[in-house]
Order: sequence, then structure tokens, then C-alpha cells
Amino acid sequence: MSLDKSVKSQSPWQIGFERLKKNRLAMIGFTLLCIVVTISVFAPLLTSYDRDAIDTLNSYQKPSAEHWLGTDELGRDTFTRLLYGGRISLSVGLVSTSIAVLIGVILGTTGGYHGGHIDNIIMRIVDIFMCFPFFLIAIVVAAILGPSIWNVMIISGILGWTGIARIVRAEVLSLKEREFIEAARALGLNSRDIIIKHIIPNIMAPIIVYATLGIARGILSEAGLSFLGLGVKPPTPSWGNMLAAAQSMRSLRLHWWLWIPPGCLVFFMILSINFLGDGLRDALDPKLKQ
Amino acid sequence: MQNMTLEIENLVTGFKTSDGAFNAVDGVDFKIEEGKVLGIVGESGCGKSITSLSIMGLVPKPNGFISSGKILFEGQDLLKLSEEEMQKIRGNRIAMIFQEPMTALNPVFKIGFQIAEILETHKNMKRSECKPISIELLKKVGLPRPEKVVEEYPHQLSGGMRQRVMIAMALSCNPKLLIADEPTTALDVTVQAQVLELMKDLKAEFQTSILFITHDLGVIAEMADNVLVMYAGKVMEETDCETLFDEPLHPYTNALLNSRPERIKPGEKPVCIPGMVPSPFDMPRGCAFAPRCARAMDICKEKKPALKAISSNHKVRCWQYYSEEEQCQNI
Repeated sequence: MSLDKSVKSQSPWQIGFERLKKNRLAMIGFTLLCIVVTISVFAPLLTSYDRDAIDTLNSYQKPSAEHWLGTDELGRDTFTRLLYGGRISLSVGLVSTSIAVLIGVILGTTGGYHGGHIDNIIMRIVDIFMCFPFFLIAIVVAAILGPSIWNVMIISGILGWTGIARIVRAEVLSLKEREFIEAARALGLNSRDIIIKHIIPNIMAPIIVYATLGIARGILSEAGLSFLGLGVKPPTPSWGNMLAAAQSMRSLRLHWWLWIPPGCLVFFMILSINFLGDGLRDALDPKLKQ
Repeated sequence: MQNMTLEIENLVTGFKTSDGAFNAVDGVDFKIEEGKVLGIVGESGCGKSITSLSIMGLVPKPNGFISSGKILFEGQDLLKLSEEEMQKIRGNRIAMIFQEPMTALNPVFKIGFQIAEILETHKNMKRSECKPISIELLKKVGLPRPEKVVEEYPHQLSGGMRQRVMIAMALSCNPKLLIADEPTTALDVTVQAQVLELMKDLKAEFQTSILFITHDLGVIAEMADNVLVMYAGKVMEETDCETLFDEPLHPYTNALLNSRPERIKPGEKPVCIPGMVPSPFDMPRGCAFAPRCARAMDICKEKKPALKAISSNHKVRCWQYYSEEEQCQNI
């Protein structure tokens, strides 16, 4: 009976996260990510300045006690804009990844589970979407619909689902041959229930890993598109358009506080998300047991 | 006249492959009475499992198809039902136990959830009502500490425990027919005996009919009331369990009985049946077993015999049991 007490039911998830905790790089990434998310969410509490308040008398101020990261050409506080910019960049990453994951998982599981013609049609659509050069389409769509944060999210999501659809399909193909899926059918479940209740929970690991890395990609493409003036419209700040605003020779030479902080933030965000993603992949892979 | 739970008439299940189509199950007939156990024996690849999948309507699509026959379950032809109607029968009135208990449970859910899912699907129960019933079911199949097991994941249970969980799941809706596809093959002998004992008890309690598929004649002797010997998609011999062991007629049945390990005396080599089950693309013109049969005659190689009733409960498909006159008529 003493044995019973020591045996604790751990779900495969708990085991995975136990393993993740031991991965130092992933935990550093996770911590950095948490910090940036927290300061972006609580931006109004961390700064006394208004995001878009113009103060032309104090333009191009160097970092000081008053303006921690100086001010830009219109005298707006860079630190404040950086915090609010994080909100935009992170939400673009999250929303575009959610769109991509939603489309990718639905189409990937449908194709993989049903096979045959349905699978063929879906995979050809994937092939077609994979032929589109991302920035070209993004620029065309942004030019037609006008630059806005929503368009960036949608473009990035709609062009980004193909990878996850392929991963999900491949996982489903191997999973549907497993006996518990056949057992589920023998127990009278319909295919929708089998996909939602039995298949998707079993392929959550690759989906989570892909989604994590997808957030990084979303942030990068937001920065890229905003830098080209096709993403988030000023005065709304994002890390991308803050970099874009500082691209004049003069600013690059004299006003380092305008471009180094957003640049570094993009860099560290992507790096920490990638560390976390890699760590998750190792931790959630049942074949890798250290 | 006993109540028939399942009647199968002339079932033909085929598969399309890149090399052409073939019939994995080729004109099988049988009946299972209420509360009885029918055992199907045969070597690997002779259509035992496909027969059971055909009854469940789970023949792998799109390559597998049932080309003719009737599957009457309590008088209702299952082949005429829509997929939705079948889903109501599967797991509810016909349940199935699979061969591999290690892989037949979903690894990411707790045992309690997986049992509750069936109750929710078929009995419209709420999640909160399911837990005590799940515990009751696990207790019935003889699992120790059922209150703990419902909160555990499949990887925490041993093979025998998982097979008991599978049986509990199969019995959760009191099915009229239980299909057990080699339920003990993956278990060791002691656990095997326990699981068989359990299935017998449950059969007696619920009056469930069981279709028991195995290649282990010892298990058949233990469990079955009637036995079907299958070879290459056809029924070779059909009789009750005692007759099969006391007076087997078909040479294939004899060969199977002789190759049982308990027949081997110390120091002797095991007796085996020479050759292999013929490939479905290369079926002999005559009897499918003729190339491996020690008693094969000329007619065996030329013409397929039909199933012949020797007595009221004994049928055999072999030319030996036809008189010379009958053989001549057929040539």
C-alpha cells in the first residue's frame, strides 16, 4: 500500500514539461518571453507618458532620467512606444499563428484522416500556396487592401498554414493506423469525434512546437512589412515601423536610441521563442528520453 | 429453436490492390446463438480478422469492400444500414476487443475518460454520472484499486490490466455480441487464463454471445461452444467443440491438431504443416489446401469441394467425404 501513495498520475504533458524545465536555454527563452509579454501587457503602468503625445520642443532627446530611451523626431517617448509596440508585434505573431494553425490543422487532419480524393485536393492546394513568394503577395495585398495591422495578420496567417498542414497530415497518416483509432471506431464514434477527441490531442506536441516557432515568424514578417511601410500604420507603434522611422542616415549615425532598442527586442524575442520552440520539441518528443 | 444473435450468409469481402482484386473472405456462412461462443481458428492470413471487421462494418476503405452476403444481427441486415446507424450499434450492441492491449488505448487520456466517452456516446450520460459506473465496470473485470485506475493513463498499466480495461470498455453498454479478435495473444499464459476466465463469467452474467477469433486451439477448447476452421477465406470445417477435438474430419483440422506443442514428445521435432497459405493471387484451381494436404487425391487438385453436412452439427469441405459416385458426377 505504501507503493500506491508514491505513484502519482502524470499525464504525458506533465512529463514533457518536467523535461522542459531541465533545458536551460529553453527556460532562459521562456523567462525573457514572459518578461516582454508582461511589460507589454502592463505598459500603461510602467510609463507615465502617452503613446502618441507629441512634444516637438523635446525632439531627439538623448536617453535621460526623464526619457529612459530618449525621444523621437516628434518628441514622443521611445521607451513608451517600445512597450506599446510590443503589444502590436506580439499580437500580430499570435493572431497570424492562430490563423495558420487553425487552417493547417483542419485541412491537415481532414486530408490525412480521410485520404483519397479529399487528401489529394488538399495537398495540391498546399502545393499551390507554397509556390507563392511571401513578400510579393504580402506587398500586393497590402497595396490593394491598404496597410493595416489586420491585413498583416491575415496575410501572414493565410500564407503560413501550409507547413503545419503537411506536418499534421503526416502525423495523422501514421496515427490513424494505430489500434486505438480502430478501437474508437469499433466503439461507435463518428469521424469528427475521432479527429477532435482522439487524433488532435495526440498530435498536440508537433502543433505546439510549430506554433511557437510560427509566432517568431509572425513577429519577423510584421517587422519586415512595417519596415517597408506596408504593415502597421503610424502613429500606432510597432517594432517594425519604429525601425523604419529611424532609417535615415542621420538617425542611424546620431540617434542610436531610436533603432537599437527595437532592433534588439526583435532579435531577442525571436531568439528566445526559437530556444523555447526547440526545447519544447525535445521535451515533448517521446522518443527522446535523456 | 434458439434465438440467433448473429447469422452470416455467404459473406464475401474483397480487397483491391495494385496487383488486382482478391477475396479475403470467400463465401462464409455461420450462426451464433444467444449466449454461445463461436470460435474461429486458422493460420494467419486466412480471413479470420476480416470476417470480424466485416461484421463491424470496419473493413478498411477504400480498398476493402463487401461484395455480397448478408450479416443479420438480431434479424437486421447490418450491410443495409447507413454509417450513422452503424455507429449506434458499434460499441453499444456489438463490441470488439482487439489483439494488442498495448496500443488499443489512447495514450493521452485517463482510463476513466475513455470509458466515460463510450457511455456519453451511447447512453447519453453526463460526465459526472460516468465515474461511479466506470469504477463499477473496472471492479467487475477484476482490476485492483479501480478508484485509482480511472485516474491513471494507459502507460501506467500492465498489458493484462489494459486488456481488462478494454474488456470493461467493450462491456460498458452490455452488448449482445462481443467480438474478441485474438484477445489473449499478446498476454502471457497466466494472465491469458485469467482473462479467459473473466470472459466466461461475463458471458454467463450478461448472456452475451461471443465471436472468438484465435489461432490457439487450447483457447478454443477452453472457450468455444462451436468452432469454425477457416483456411484461405473459406470455412473448412464447422462443428461443436467436442467433436472437433474428438473426431476431426478435415485433413487441415487434423494437421492443426497434430501440430499442437502438447502433442510433441520429448526429443521429437514438432510436427508442422508443410508449405504456406497460398497467396490470394495464386489460388490453386482445386481445394485451397490440396498442395499441403497429405491425403490429397487427383480430384482435389482439379475441383473445389463444397461444404458437406456429415451430421446435423458437423460440416466439412473435403472430397474425402464424398462418395466415389458424387466425385464422378462432379468431374
